[in-house]
Amino acid sequence: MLTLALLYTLLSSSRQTAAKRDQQQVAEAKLQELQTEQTLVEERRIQAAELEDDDQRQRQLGRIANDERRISDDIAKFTRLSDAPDKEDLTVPSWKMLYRQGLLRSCTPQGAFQRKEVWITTDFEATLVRLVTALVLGIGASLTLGILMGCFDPLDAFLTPPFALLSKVPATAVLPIFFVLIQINFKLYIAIIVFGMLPSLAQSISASVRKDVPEELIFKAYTLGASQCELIWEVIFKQVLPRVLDAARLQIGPALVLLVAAEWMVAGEGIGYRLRLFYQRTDMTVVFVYVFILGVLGLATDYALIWTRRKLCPWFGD
Amino acid sequence: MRNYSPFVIVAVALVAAAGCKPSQPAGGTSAAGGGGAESANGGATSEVTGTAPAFSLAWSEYPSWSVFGVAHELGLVDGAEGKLGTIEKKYNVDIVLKEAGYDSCLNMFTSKNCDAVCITNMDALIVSPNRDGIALLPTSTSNGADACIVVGINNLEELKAHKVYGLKGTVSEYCFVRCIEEAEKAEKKGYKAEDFQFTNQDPGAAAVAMAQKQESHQAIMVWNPFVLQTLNDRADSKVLFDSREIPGEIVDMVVVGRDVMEKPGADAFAKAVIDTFYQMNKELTKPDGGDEVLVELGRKFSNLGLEDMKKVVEQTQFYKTPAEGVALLNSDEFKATMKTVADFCIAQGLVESPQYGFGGETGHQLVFDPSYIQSVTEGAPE
Amino acid sequence: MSSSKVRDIVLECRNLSHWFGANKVLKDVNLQVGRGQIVALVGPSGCGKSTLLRAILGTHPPRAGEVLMDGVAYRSPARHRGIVYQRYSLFPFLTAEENVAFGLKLDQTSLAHRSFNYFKWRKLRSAHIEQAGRFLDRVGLSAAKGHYPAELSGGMCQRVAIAQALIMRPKLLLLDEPFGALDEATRESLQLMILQLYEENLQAKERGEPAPHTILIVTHELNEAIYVSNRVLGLSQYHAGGRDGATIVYDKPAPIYRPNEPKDVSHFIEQKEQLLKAVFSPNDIKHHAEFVSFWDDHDRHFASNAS
Repeated sequence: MLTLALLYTLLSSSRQTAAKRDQQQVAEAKLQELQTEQTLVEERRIQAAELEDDDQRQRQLGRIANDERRISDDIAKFTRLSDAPDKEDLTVPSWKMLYRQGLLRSCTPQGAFQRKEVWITTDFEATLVRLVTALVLGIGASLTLGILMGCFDPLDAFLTPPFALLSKVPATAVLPIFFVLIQINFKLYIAIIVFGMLPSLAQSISASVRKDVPEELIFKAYTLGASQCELIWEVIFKQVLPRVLDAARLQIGPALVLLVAAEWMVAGEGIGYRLRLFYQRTDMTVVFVYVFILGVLGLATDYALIWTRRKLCPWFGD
Repeated sequence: MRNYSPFVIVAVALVAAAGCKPSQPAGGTSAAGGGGAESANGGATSEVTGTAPAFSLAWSEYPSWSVFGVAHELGLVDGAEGKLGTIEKKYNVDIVLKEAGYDSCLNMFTSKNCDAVCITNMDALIVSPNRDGIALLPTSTSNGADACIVVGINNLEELKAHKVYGLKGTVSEYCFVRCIEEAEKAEKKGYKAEDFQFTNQDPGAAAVAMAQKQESHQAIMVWNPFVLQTLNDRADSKVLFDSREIPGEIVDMVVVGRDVMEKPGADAFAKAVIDTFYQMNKELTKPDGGDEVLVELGRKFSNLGLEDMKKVVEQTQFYKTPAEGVALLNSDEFKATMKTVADFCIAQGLVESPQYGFGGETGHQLVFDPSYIQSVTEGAPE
Repeated sequence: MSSSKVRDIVLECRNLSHWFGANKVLKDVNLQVGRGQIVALVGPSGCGKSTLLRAILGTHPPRAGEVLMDGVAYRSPARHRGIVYQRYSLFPFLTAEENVAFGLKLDQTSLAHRSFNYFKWRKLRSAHIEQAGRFLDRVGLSAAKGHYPAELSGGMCQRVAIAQALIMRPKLLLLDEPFGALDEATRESLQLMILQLYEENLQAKERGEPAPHTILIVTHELNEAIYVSNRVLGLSQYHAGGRDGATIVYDKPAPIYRPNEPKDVSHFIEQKEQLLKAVFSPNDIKHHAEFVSFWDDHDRHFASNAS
């Protein structure tokens, strides 16, 4: 953590100084250019003053006055620029900018009129509601399908080939199809994430049912009087549950990638949407804040799921 | 040994159910769309809430389009579905605002995922074979808002040696090609658009690359806010030429699907959108508070402050009043412009045979129809 | 009195044959196991002991012939036949106590019952756990009730597994090399546990009740086979019709002792040599009828007692 902060500080300060140096260099070069232009204009004024024709002289002098005004405006502008202490590079903002323009702006109500919004809450709420709903549905569906596939050979034979193909298709590549087929609303994000996780997760669960449930346990359950339903629920499900939780944990990352990508393209609120807006402005203040929060959230979810697994399946060990 | 035949049926049924769900084609305007769970995040556009029918307007971040986003903040409209702002109440129609990137907006429109879209005249022409449209409302014209920004390049001759980054098949490329044509007319130096290296890239990405001083990006062709941002971010950059060379040729507008206009309440929707736009223009030009609205408009899509935003609305010349809008759509210049644009699109292979018409003309894929603006002014109390 | 009445048969295999493709494994296995018997099944490796056990358990029914329990033919596993495997003998996600109570739960209630009569089920559940606890006390594992199998030693696991099977009061308990992976000392203590079950049989007999435990134990350890059983079965492919698969080539009583009785080792050695010759020697292929004499001896003995 400390290393990261240190690296960031180094990168940011080097960029800030570089930006300022560039700005000064450009301004100084420009000022020099303007000064030479100024001398040229002086010469032109002398030449113009010698003109015989009144009309022509007046016109020339007018033009020269125009040029002078422009030059003095520019000189003022670039003098200001080279002195400007607060011109900041927004690509890797300094900590101060990160706090003021990033954190504060994200966490306080924005908007000048009656309808204000706090970006962090609206965006993270939108994204997390989408993500959690999709994960619950996706894991539930994968679990049901995976266990059934693991138990029933015909179903497995029927679903494995399409799932094998679909799980190899990068889900981001399918985004355009989803955008066209499904209305751009809540359902779209759910469908995209479920599509992204279902084939591979169902396959891995079905493989786990076949591999991690020894037939001895199945036979034994029968000798203890289990029905088919009981076998699936009391033995197979319980046996694969910790592995499913681990597999699902690994799916959260890809699901979030998909969600942010989809939001980037079509959403009107959410993390992806905000990142797009600020990327377009080359303003990384809010972006860094969001990225950091995403990282912390990801870490927290990871631990939460590991904790859940330990609570639900204490027998599984670590 | 694993022989559990009764379960196979259940399982297959489950799969079938699961398989159907994600692939259900929910057309944006079909009455069948929409369940209960989606309301929080903007739902089916056709869902009728109370008595006010809902229609959706897709917009992307652009000066004359972000006014709809500010209108939401001001309470003139409420972009969420099922909620009405003051203008929506007046017309008893529910405008659902859908914000997305420009490309996605076009996609939403052609795939009928929205009812109306903010679009340029050129793209309106390009998408018209995919969905018939009626251009209701011209919002602004580019008067310097599309520009070729360069670093260390002083004339067109030098530009030939560099790649120019911009989005192909859009007004950026149109503006680029037309400006070269105009320069050729004026200077007669044998400039041809083919001699220049217009390279496809998202304008946001191109602007960022230039601001980052990437060696490859010595010239970009972008629109606002990227024009002003790049000029601000990189002190040594300057405009080589911009859309002031081709006044009135790039027009930003709101286009609604023709299929939408057949639905009940569509007229009210069209009127409400038009009314919102002109109300917002009044807000923007108010002596007191107008600047505040302008700054808020800038915040919707950029880092630009008041001074820059004044420049932006200068470069993106709004059609502030109904009279200006009607005058444009009825003008012969605009008809001539559309001919130029159509020729350009055909030449670039963007569209095969565009069919467009004006006013009351029918049978075209795209019609520029001022009658909706007129109906709003007639209905207005003032 | 007919001989079948005299023989109180729990399990019967009739002309049981099995093969995998061209590979013939079992050929006309005929076998009767009487109630209260503790039968050890031995044989050279690869002779089909496991195949026979699976056929008897019901998980892999034979290709030909039939298996009957109390005179009823069956082709699937059921709660009357308990099994203790060498590996995976317990459900890893249940504690020792829950493992033992698992059979009661599966047998006495259904998934629907447990879901819809939750509070009734809770009550029954605590009764089950209590009963399981008593069983664990009996096998000397009072301290390990709340532990998961991964936290138990191999020997403890097998004790729990036996308790898990016994709580169902199976008509026949099958043990598939149950102590194969254990060290010598643990193995002996578990063998003693089998002898305790034999003791319970004897006590029941004294009370005039039917013997509660009928056990078929598959093992590759001849000493163990002779020590824990009162009847040794030899299954072997080394017989006259050997190419057609293995069959029963040895069936004789074995000495059995109460847990605290001293054992007579000389008897062991004698029978072991007999077994090695009759069952394990590929060079000694002949007709084995002389070694398959258990029921004949039994009937003769019974007849002489009766007269």
